[in-house]
Amino acid sequence: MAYVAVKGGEAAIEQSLKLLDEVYQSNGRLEVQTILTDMPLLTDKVMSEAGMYAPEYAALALKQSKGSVEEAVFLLRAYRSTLKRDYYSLPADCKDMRIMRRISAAFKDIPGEQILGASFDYAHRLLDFSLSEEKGKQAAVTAAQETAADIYCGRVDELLQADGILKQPEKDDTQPYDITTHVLTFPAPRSARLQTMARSEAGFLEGVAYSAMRGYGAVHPTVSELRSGYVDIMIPYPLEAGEAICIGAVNVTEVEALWPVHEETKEEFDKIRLSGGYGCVIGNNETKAIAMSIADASLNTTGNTPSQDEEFVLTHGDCLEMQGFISHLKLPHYVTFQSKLDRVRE
Amino acid sequence: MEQLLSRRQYTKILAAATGSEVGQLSRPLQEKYQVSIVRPAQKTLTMLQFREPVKASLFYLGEALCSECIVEVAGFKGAAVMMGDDFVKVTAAAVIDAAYNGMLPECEALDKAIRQLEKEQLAARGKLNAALRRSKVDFNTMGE
Repeated sequence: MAYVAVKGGEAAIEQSLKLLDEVYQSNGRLEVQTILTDMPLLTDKVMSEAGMYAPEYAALALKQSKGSVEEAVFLLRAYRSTLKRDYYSLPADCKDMRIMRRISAAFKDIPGEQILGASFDYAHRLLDFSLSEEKGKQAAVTAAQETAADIYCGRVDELLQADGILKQPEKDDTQPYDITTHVLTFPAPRSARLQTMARSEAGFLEGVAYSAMRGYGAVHPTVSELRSGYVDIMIPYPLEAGEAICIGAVNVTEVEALWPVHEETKEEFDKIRLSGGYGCVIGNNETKAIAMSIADASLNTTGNTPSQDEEFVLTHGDCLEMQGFISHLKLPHYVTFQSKLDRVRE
Repeated sequence: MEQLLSRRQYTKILAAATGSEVGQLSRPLQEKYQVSIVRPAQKTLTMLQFREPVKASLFYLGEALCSECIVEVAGFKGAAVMMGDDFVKVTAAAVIDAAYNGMLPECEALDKAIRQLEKEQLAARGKLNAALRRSKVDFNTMGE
């Protein structure tokens, strides 16, 4: 199918862009900093789907896009494309995370304890009308008088590995595949799968995971551990090989999910072992991180459902690609539609 | 003399500091020495490489917006790369790095000031950490 370009319409397009500020008028009171501090979960979503950690710019993009997440992701991705990438971090590991929240659905008692942290999980979902009147409300935690050290702890899976229930994987230092510089091919390397899903649109990934659990797949895992917090990022020191420097910390959410798999071994016809699925996303995006771990687990099973189809899962969840492809349908298609009409009339 | 902070240590503390804090730390150096800019502060990207626990393999989580700068102070080069777009902060951090590289006489006082800054950072997080610890949960299963 060929596309035919259209021309003209410059004045109307210019006016349409001006109307964005006219129709979606701002009262001028919403500052970028306010979006950053008051809507952290929204800026996290934008960063996660843009694949770029830049909280202030995500907030700016949200302001510019009048709150449209897909436009904000587009803006960040477009801006990212203007920058050089000079550095690759040394491998970071969420086991070294400064914990803000850490829970396990698998074990009641875990070393390092379960820290609920800030969560809506047990909140009553009732509209709080007092927020309409709120002015400069102070966070409740500032009232705390005592202090405590940063929270660090090992992962829950280390317990199972120590018990011999979960096999400790051998370290794999294969250089990751980079989907931002290489075209994705199938079967995709594990690194490409994880990078793609980490940038996936949350709703898409959650739909895939939901379908896998409802019967269109073969997994219904248990969240062994969900943790969120800050991980230090180290890069090689630019002036001397062998040295490393810290460039700051990123806020991430990590999930490890476990489910039993049946396998036939020489010793046992139906041996059950535990297998894992992994999710890790930029910012506080818990449902997305859990969904990613389920999708990862589902892709390790065989079957004919969408959640088991690697190409389906990895090529239909990118916010920019899916919104762009769907949105292009509203742009002029006069010639192609005329040809369809001609065929109908024949 | 106490052993100076390692590069990993002082870059971590500086990265977590505000621009004005890092600027203040570098001010004595900037006032005493001629600072030559080798690579002016500019934006760049760092690809975030992570290791996952299921297969112990590596993958890229995404990129982080960073700023970088290289300077020369008293004949010693210093470099800084930090998340964010604060050019003043990253330039000041590069000046501090040059001071450490050259073991300039101001280093000892600088090192003490950075250690103090770390204490302040830990104290600032202390109340939040205490509040987080108060959300430690111990669910009882039915029948217990």
